[in-house]
Amino acid sequence: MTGQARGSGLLAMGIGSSLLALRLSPIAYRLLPIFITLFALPAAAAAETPEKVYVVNDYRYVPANVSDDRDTGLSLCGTRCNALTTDFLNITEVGGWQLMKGAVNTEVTVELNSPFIKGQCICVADEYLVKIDDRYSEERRRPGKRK
Amino acid sequence: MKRTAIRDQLSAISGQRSARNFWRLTVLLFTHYSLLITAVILLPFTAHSADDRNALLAGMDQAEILRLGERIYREGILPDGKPLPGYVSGDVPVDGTAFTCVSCHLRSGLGSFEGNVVTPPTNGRILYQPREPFIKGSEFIPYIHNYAVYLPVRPAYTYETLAALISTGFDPTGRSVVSVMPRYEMSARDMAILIAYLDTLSDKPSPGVDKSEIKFATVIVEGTDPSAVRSMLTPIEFGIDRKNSLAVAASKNPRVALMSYNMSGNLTDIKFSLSRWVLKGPSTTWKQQLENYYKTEPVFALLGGITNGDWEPVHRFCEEKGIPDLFPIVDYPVISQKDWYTLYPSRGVRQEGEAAARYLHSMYDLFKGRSIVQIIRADRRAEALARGFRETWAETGHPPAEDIILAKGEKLTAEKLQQIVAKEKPAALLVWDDASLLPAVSSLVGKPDKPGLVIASGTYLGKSLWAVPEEVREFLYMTYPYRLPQDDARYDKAAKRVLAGKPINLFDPVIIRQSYLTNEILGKALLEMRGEYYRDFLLDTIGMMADQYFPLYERVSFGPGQRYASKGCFMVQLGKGKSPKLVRRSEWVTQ
Repeated sequence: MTGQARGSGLLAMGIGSSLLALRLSPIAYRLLPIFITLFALPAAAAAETPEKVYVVNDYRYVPANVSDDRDTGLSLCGTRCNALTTDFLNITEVGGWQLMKGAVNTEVTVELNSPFIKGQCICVADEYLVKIDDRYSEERRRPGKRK
Repeated sequence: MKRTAIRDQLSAISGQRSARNFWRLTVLLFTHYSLLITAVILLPFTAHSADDRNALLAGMDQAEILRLGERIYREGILPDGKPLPGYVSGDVPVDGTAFTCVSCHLRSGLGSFEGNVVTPPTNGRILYQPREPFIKGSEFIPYIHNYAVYLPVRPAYTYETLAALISTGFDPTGRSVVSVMPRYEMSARDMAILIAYLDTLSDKPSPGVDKSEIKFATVIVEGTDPSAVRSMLTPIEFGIDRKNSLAVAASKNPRVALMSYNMSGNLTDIKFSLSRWVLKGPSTTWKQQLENYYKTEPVFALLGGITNGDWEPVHRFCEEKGIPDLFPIVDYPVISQKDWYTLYPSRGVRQEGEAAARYLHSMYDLFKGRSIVQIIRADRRAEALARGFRETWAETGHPPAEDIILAKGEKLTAEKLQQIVAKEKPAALLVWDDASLLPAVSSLVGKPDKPGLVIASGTYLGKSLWAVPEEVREFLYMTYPYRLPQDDARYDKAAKRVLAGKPINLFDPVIIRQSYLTNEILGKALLEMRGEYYRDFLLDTIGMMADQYFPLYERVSFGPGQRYASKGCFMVQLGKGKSPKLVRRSEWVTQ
């Protein structure tokens, strides 16, 4: 369950509890949170944003101060942008997932985040959305088919 | 009219082509036969008869012949200690130590397949048989058929034609082999020694294999946590059970048999077995225990294996007997550049220390002369981490880090840490300790001498990694030798598959994934071995595999002679908030 979905479920439980004031039969009271949860889950799933990953093609360093060492900054930005990049085989090799290409050569700015040198890294990257493509999963099999 | 004109034109073109082709063919035939004639003329000068060979090697001890032959084959060193001279692409001189036989034909001599280049087998058993466009008994197995038709047919080699091939590059049909195969210059005696060695390569069936069964064993050191043992065994036993089920199904159902034969050829009918070799008592007695197990039941390979501590006696036993051991679950593998038979999932605990060294190396110029300090708890894990750092750091050429080893049983306190920091004023501080380091490191917040970054081991922190105080997260970096949990979740389904429905919380999440690797790699390798179940070829085949993506490690990669599958480690920080994620601060730092 995703964080959002779990959140929605708990929210539903909360609403169920707040209905304590209403005079419902004990069975209806017990079932109410389940119904609310069932209604809330699809909405939460629909609202879930797909994961975005990057494949970095290039990078550059933008120093915060004139005195910052540009060569070292660039080198560290290499590490920083490589940390941002994704080995796409890590996603596609397992099966059930696909990458949808989005923006090409988009510039993603990340803080260098080094204790010794300030500045920003501009990572030039292709953007991909990670999409579930679990066409053989049991949930997607037609009813009546042998599992 | 139009059609006639076209026909006339076509016949004119065809005539021109025929004329051109005639000349081309003439030149080709001339070249071909002149090369063949050259080879035949050169033959008496380059090769000697089998009788001469016996005379050349007379008086030499057989073991010595094989030792010297192995040296030529593997290292490109002649018996007199000089490098084996050779030529590639016609007349480009090369040093045989850089173009060794083993680098392409591999240790088993059964050849390799890399990209579009197929290197044929070079062992006597296959060389002295004619090569057909099929492999007898495997004619209808698609991948073996594709392999067989790729290589040109040739008659069986004799001693003389084999010596001619090595010296001149021409096979018995007069065909020149690829130009990257060096033509080696060596004396008749050295040639006899080399060929004597080739004759022994993959010539006897490996122990533990017959037409109906391949025997495996796994080594369990007594006293290992039962949950860890179960986690190691389950994926391996799952793979073996599944394989044997397929063998049974194939024996009963012709459709399954056909499908299985198309996929795996003669492996279809072969059953696998897995014995458990339990080692008891002190490690000095393990060798004898292993000898006894092996004598009773010779196995083809060891799969997995597990210990809380030492593995070296098992490693040494495998080296002595030439038994492959695929991916034992150990924290402290034997680190060796030369040993051949044990493949480890990674370099163990020390790999995190090595990654930390490489990470700090990238920013060393910014330290401006400030020191690096390692605080090391007095236990094996911390010492392995520190050693990994120390040895890799030494390779960078920087001044060594200051090592502070805690007394046995001593825990790092806030007071002690502040004293160290105030005295050393380090740019970077490495603390190889468990979760007890967190309160001490927290005490550095706001202190003027606080190091720029503090590095700890993610695996040593264990679950406490998720409890790093918010104020420390900004400067605490951790080594993390696995794929990040949020990314590895994609592989959960694959990892759970080997549990056959058992709840995953009964298992160690890391070990189950490490053992998954054993199962997958063994299956892939056996399928690629063309029915040649030789121990060295098993390791050769794994060595030629492309990078693989399985649960746990970001990727595992292989290469001839490489013995540590996962070569990387992330540097991470814990993100902000109450449900933080790990955030990468480096790429998959590799060796």
